[in-house]
Amino acid sequence: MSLTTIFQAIVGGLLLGGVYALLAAGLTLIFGVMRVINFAQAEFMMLGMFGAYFLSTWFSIDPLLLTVPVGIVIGALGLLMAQGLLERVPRGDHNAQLILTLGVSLVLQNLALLLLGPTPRVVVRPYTNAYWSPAGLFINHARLYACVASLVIMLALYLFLTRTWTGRAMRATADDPLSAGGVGVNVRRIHVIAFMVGSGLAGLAGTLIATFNAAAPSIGNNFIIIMFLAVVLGGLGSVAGATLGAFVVGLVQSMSGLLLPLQLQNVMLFLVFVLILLVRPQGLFGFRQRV
Amino acid sequence: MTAIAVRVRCTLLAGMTGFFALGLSGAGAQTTIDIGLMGPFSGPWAEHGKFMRIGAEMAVEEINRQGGIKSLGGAKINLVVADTGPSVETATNAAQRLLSQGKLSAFTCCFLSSFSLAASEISERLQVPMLTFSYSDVLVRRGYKYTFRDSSGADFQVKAAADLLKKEAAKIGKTIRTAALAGDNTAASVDYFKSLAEVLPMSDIRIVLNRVWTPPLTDAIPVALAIRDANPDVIFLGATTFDDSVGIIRAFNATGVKKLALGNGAQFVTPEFFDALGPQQAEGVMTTQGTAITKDPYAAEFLKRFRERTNIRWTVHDTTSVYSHLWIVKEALEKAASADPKKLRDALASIHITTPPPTAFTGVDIQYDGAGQNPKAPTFIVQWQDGVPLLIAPGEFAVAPLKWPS
Amino acid sequence: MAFGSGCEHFGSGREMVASGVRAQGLGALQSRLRAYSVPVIACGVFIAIVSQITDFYLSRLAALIAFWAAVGMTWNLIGGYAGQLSLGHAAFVGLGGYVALVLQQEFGIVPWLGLLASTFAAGLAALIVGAPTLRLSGIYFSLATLAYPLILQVLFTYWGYQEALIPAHPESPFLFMQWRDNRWYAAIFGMILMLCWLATVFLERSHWRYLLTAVREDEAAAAAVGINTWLVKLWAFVISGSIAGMLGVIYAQMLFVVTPETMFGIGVSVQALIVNLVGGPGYAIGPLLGTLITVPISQALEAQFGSISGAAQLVYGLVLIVVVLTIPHGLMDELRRIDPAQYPTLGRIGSLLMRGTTRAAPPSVPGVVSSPVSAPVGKGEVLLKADGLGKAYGGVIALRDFNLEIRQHEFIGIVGPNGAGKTTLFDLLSGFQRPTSGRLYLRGENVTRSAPYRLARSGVRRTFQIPRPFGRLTVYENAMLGGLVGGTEVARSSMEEAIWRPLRAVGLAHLANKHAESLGPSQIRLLEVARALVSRPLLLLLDEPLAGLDPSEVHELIDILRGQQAEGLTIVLVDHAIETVAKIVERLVVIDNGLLIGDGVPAEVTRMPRVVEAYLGSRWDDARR
Repeated sequence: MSLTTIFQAIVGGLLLGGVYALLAAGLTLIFGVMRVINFAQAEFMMLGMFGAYFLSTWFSIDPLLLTVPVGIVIGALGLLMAQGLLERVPRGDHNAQLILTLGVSLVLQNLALLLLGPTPRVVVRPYTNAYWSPAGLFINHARLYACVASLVIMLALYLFLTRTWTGRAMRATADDPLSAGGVGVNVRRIHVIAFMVGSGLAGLAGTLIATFNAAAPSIGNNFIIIMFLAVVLGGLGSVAGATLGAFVVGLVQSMSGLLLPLQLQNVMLFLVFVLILLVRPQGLFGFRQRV
Repeated sequence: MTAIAVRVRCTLLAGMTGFFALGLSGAGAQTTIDIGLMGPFSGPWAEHGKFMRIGAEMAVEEINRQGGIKSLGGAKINLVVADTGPSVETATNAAQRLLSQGKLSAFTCCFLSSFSLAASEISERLQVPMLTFSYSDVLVRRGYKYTFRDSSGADFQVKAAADLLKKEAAKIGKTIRTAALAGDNTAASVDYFKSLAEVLPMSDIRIVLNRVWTPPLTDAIPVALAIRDANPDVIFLGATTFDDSVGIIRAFNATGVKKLALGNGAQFVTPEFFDALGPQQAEGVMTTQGTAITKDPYAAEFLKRFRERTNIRWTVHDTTSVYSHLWIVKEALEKAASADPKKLRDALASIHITTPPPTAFTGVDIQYDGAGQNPKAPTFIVQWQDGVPLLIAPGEFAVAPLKWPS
Repeated sequence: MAFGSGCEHFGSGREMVASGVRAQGLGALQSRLRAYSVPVIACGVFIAIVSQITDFYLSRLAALIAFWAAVGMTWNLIGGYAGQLSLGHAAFVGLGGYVALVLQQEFGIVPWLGLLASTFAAGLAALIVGAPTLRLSGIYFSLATLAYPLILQVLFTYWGYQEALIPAHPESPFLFMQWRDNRWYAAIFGMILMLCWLATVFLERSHWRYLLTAVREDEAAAAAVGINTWLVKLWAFVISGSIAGMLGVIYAQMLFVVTPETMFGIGVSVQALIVNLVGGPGYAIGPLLGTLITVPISQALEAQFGSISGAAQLVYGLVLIVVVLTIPHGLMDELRRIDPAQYPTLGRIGSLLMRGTTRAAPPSVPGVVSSPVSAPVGKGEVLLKADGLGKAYGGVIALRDFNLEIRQHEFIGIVGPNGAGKTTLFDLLSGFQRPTSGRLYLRGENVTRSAPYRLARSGVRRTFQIPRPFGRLTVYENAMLGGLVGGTEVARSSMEEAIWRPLRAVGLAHLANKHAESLGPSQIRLLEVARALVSRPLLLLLDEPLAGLDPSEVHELIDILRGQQAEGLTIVLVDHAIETVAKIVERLVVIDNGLLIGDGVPAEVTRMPRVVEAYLGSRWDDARR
């Protein structure tokens, strides 16, 4: 196995990890603040992909420029779901919340199938098929841009969470809802905003992924476990952890493609997932969790 | 009343009753015949289901427009559609429901060989003929009487492909000595690769690389690089999902792998595939098909109607196979002069169609052997050339010769 | 009867539940017959109906209903009764199916033997997987269970079983479990369903119901009453998994073509979950009810909308959402809550469905256990000894070098200002946390690394700062649970006494049949005390029992505690209200900033300058002068 092959795997894994990070960050934010596992997260991503496809095809705008608008639209959808559905489930009934998001996931997937049809929609831009080849590596432009854009968004998210009042209120609520309420945070509102941001992040991720993967109603199924693994690795509720976790997942995925029979690539992921939960449920990066 | 008058009245009464009875029994007064279409209309293969449905609907419309089943008094075909769903349970539920609750005379099914196999169990038990174009050869090796396949299966296709490649190579003075296999681990690809593993050595072709992944393939570059390093004379592709089939070709182009690539299935010739890659990247990619648009004028005319209906420039075998299935059933219904599935089955088993429409897509007579297979069914190989998928094999139907990569 | 004298012998829980039923005589026998006959009769009726069905589709539907109801019942064990939401039940169904398939394909072993092998294999898998996974709680457990079917799916695909056909043997359908007629499958599934149902009824009528309910409601409280929650969950998981494996074998035979997606797919796990969710998890008949509703609905949806891509699944998803929003605990729970006065018909239906299965009243004479003291406790013997106990969380040291000897019959108060480390100390003394330094001895035995349930069984009982009653059980049942676990022989006549005495002592006897969740806050606190007392513990630890009580309630509690102490109970009370505690106890221990700063007679300790400073600064001292 040559060094180039190894580097190729590392680079490929990191590039993917960057995009996974958006999905994972959204999922973990929602869990941290609301203690809800959003099974529909991948479907919000799928809707983001379709949004990017349609808008870029109708108005000839590059999907990369559409990230924020699409993210906002998807976030609005998330807002609807949070207010209309999640808030109706008794707080603390985790099973019910889980089933609810599962139901929403089914509805969104099949609604997309019903209305948009099964045909995969591809966005083809000049950078989709372009590759940068330093030192014998092959780096797809689309994936590179997506990863860079994702990191920029993560930075914005970090600033939001640390520098704005809403962001800090969110972190406070995640840490200790009672005390947060005590200092004047409208916990219900923060819950809904957190869901909005979390689902919006998924929509953003979808726009970026649309540049190198086709949009199809069932595309979400490929990303669910990846997201969960990244979130669990980083520690449920920790955005920084989820980001790091996403990169680790990308790396594990691509490296296990080198070391194991390619077919078993994902088995490594699942095993790591289970091991982390069993051995160190607070995640690899040990951020303190209040479960 | 006199005795004669009574007798006359009785006779008249009997006659009229008989006449009504005749009418009620439906002899010659059948209005619709139910034919089923089962396929994947949801899930990752929904695209194929969509194309299957187009073929079925076009056939039914055409058959009914031309007057339906004449030997049954112009009875029209009614298409009954069912989704096979994501699992064998849902597929067999659909089959069971369709066959025992509906009054199907026959049905075509199911795209995925697992589902076709499962449905054929039901069709054999409930004695309703099933037509399929699924790949697995097990379908026609169990001695079942109700399964019919008019297109070629794995073994046949692989042999035909190997022969074609050797022949074409010989024409330009090349020999094919090595091959690489890259594909996923779905049943169809596994069958494909199993057949290749048996057939290729017999043609003196050595397999130098075997990369199998679980879909989705997150990064195709490493696979392409491995192939590039192995430097085979030809590549056999077993990618079945859209993203994987597009991704592997993109990776070939990026890494400079310029070899003949032969895929298996319609995913390599859909319009979306072409849109994603563009004419340059798609150039040269080949795939096997069970049925295709041959030189037969009927096929050309069908293609025109298809284009008008869907705005898609070419068809895939999901459409043409199902289209010809419906026409085969039509012919069998005419022959059997009955909608009874058992009689229809007998008609199918002994049918010999020599004229279009069905022959237009296989290029040969439609006739089933004892196992339910049409032994003459050729393997069509289609290749992208200048942005159009052209039929390059078998020779007698080819519209263009095989183009080697430059 | 002095506490901990070891003279009483109490029986094991399950014996006592059974004997309690025996003691009631004919009435009990009738009730038992009724309960167990329901599943048998239902199965008989089902098979009778099925034998009349000639339509293939309908007979298949019947088989599928029986199958999914049975799978749902197996899920109910772990997900409903034990309350652990498993999202990976397909792992066991699929493993069972594949093990038998592989044995058949590779070794020609007939499915009936494969059935035994699969049941065992699935049970073993559940043991291997469950042992570590069940240490996780709540959402972590659910997430972990997601992974197992996925791993198996990839593995079986990798091993070449993408598309496996059951080897056909039309010549001997019985031997090879392959019938063309779906009715045979329906019959087998029906029988397994009946067995699952009977087992569940048995469970509901035994002490296991209480163990599982306690584990489901509140694991910490369950541990506090001596229940080894991990073991209880593991039992449920293993039994659940093995029967699911058995069902998987027959399922595969019925389907004939087996793919990894079909056997391990998320659809299977979700279906097992949904039938319970709709019908009511934790009720014997819940999954059956749920299946009778959801399977025909989904089939009808498929029939109606099957030709429109995605329509059927869409409606199904909507149904899920509606169900969760309207009947989050399932139909059975809703029926149970219905006031029969307002809705007489529904009330009757509800009671009919619950008849004989869910007990309306607890077993009349439950099993009660005493503290299993191997040797009688001597006067003044050291019960609990903290030797240099310390606890550090990361960089923060919550407790440092804490030494304490708790002697028999003492009444100790441990106080300290907020943040002093009282909660940590309490958890360390009761075994709910492990110290990072030092040791804990219970009557000379090193129990530093013991699980909390062990300490509870050895006679150390505690209450919780925020009370943890088993809300859905009655007051009586809560008390009973206090003594259900552990133990030796007992004189039957004293069993009921053992429960009623503490209830009377805390003044809750008149509320015995009320559900604990309907009690007021101070009453719940008293219930916790009663629950702790039922087992005749050596030592009672109370965690901030005075918080939130008004003065009269405080008096009441103190009187009760004094009464118990007079009877020989050793009490340790942890609180921060130093003045109140100082007046009650005989010995006062003060901690501050994780250190012990005072230990002795309350009057003296409260005057110590360090103590005064800790609480109020020197102003208190000045104010007092």
